Amino acid sequence: MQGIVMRGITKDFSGKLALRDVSLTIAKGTVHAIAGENGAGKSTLMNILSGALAPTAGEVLVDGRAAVLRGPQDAGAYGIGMVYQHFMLIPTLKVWQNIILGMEPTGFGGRIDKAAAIRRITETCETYGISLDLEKTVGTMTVGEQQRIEILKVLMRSSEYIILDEPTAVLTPQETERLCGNIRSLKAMGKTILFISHKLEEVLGIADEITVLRLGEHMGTVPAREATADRLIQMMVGREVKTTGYPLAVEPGAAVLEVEKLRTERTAFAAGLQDITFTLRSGEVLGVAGVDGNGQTELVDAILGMLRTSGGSIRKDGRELTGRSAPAIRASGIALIPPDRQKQGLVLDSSILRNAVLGCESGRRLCGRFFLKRRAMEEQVLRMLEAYDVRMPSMEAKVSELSGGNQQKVILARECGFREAELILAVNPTRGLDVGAIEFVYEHIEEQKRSGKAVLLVSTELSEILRLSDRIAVFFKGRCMGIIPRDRADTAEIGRLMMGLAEKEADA
Amino acid sequence: MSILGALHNRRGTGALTQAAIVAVSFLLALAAGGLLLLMQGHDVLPIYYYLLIQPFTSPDSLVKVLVKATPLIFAGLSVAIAFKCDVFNIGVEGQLYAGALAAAALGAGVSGLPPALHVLVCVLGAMLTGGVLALIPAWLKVRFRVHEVISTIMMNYVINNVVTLVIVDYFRHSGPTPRTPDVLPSARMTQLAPPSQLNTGFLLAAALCVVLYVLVQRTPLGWRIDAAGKNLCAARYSGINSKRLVLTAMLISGALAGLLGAERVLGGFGYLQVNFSPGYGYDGIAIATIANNNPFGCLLMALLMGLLSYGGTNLNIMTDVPSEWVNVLSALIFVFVVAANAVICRLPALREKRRSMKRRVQP
Repeated sequence: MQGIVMRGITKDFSGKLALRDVSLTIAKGTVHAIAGENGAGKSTLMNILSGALAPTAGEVLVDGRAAVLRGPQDAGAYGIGMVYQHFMLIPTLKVWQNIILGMEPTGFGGRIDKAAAIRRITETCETYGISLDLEKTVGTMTVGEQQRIEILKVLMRSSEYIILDEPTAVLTPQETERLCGNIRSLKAMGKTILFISHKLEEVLGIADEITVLRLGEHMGTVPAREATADRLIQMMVGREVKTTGYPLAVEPGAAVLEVEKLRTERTAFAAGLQDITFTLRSGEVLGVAGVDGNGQTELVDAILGMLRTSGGSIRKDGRELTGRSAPAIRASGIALIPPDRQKQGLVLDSSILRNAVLGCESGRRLCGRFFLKRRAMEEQVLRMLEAYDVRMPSMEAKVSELSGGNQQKVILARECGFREAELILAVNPTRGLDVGAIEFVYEHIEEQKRSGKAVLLVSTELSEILRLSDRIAVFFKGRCMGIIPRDRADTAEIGRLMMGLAEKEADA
Repeated sequence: MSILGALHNRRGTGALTQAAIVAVSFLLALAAGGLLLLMQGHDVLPIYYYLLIQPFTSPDSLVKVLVKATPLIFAGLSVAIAFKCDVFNIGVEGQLYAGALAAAALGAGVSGLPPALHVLVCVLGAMLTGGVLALIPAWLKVRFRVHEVISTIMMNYVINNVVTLVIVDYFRHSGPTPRTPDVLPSARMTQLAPPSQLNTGFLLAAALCVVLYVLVQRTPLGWRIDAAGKNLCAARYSGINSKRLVLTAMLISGALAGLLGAERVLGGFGYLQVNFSPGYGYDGIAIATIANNNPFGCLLMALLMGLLSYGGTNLNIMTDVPSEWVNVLSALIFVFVVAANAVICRLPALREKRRSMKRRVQP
């Protein structure tokens, strides 16, 4: 059989399942899209196919033969080539030099035969309709051109299967258009294209078949002509979005966080915020929904003072936050449950005790005039961690020895226990946790809400947003598409807003 | 950056593990160094006797070891506190000259103070000078992201040459050697065992080990420095003012370097001589690295380096092996320790890799 068959692929990153029993068939000569949110396992799956990662279980068949993929070289031998999101080019070399790197045609005495190289590259270019100035220095070229070089590199190694990892993430709309043209002509020449994306518009536009992954599981493969954006969203964010869970009813109090016409600069990789306006009151949870990478990170970083704003205002308890330093903003009473707990939340090489008070060491309860109150601190931390039900060998053990759920509880204990804050920013607070830990986090957030705190919940899990939020703000390309009260929220409507399909006036 | 990473040993092996690593590395270095000697046709045993045993045979030579170790303790502590915050202060060598010049100027220029107060003024002046000069690269780092490795190395040249210029052209003792006038007797640190140079500076250095240990282990500042050194991102996201931490760590580091200079001027020579440092600042990097930035480890390593340094002069006199050979020996210790730490850092990753290789399904 022609094509690639992946059977029962499972990948276990030391206890964290990135892929669970994924089986997939990719027919030869088709364009196959792998869609899913960040962390769904798309890149892991493709890295297994390209030999960069070894699966924990499962097998890969290429054109009916079982493939032993121990590295990118092996994958090349089976005709599989990958274009990574971050290009592997040498900016000081010329285009043709980059392309032949590692397979240089040599002439007399081992000298590089430039004429032969140029001839072969030009042939390939003409065959697939790719235009490039081969004498240009790579560092001076646009991202779109550099991507074409990478594709050419893969083609020159006579690959039949070409994997593109988030090819449009770095491209402008015009460049994206051009890439789609290139993909079509490659397909016309009988090549098979696999590309990873979480942007549904382009997936629907160019793919023949679409495979959706969600949290490491294969949610299904559908032919593109039968697929609709709504259906794909359903598959991406969860087959059954639980609408049974409703947030706790608490009478909201005074405004805690007021964001008005907030703007940030656009960067090469992010849209930047555009006129974000909302008010968050005490005893209220405002959910920020959206596909990952639509301005949620920028919003949180802007509030925290880690990202420079270019307009608008952020007020907490009536006091302006923009223009103040990040430490000063945190000290004004903001707790943060960061999205990446191992990178932003914890010092993995330090003890549980130290992590439980990180950034709060100099508080009255923990520190005397000059020195830390070791005994008082140990007592309080122990009591706090027990209250949060952290299972640990001892407080002096490294925090890296804890499970993900317990690590998250250490952060919760610190941010909600030791830090005096009226505002809690929770970003994907349950990512990677098991069901029990998720329920704990939910209850904890409700607890904080009941005690009158204001919670800004940023999550890519729609079910989580619906379960906890009193109001839901939907972000798309740095804009707030609308703020919907929970009792009027409808999954399909939110899904459409998440894709930027319909705009609704923000009723902040 | 991976080389720097290996030097920093950020994973932080425990004190006991590190002590074992150093002990084994020391023995390996002795073996490798011995092999070198054998290849050159030397008799190894007497050489090691004069290097390692003879210094312990008389109180006089033991005192000399302590004299050699004193500036090394300051240097080690200075580099270690910056390392702890993940800042690489290669500028100790320059900062110590600046501190020495300040001490020499205040020691010779200010008169009429009672002895204890005069010493204190000179010491504080030296610490301030060293600290402020260390703040320059620190500020460049937090403000413009200039890497401190570059800026501190460059500043070493600038400071050393400016200090030399000042000594030679403006502040020269009327004698053949380019040096400053003697500091006043009231500015001299108390000598503990004349005629050797051992002075209260040694006691101060030992006491500072305790102070720094307490600072790192028992104060919010120390915990934050440790956290920022291990994971800057987490430190920033938890609301720690990481820029101020870098500035503070470098201020302390530079002050300790200035103190080194003051000890040499006020306690050792009694004046400031051009190019007096045999590279204390660079030795400090080796000491802090081998000691895993532990203050007491720095003390022990400085004593060991002092022993080797004194033993080296012994070799010059008693054998036909040049004292430079000792540099080879200490370099070997350094290489072995760094290599061992690098391997230990990678062990978890290596283990994981082997496990995944085993689990790989062969079709």
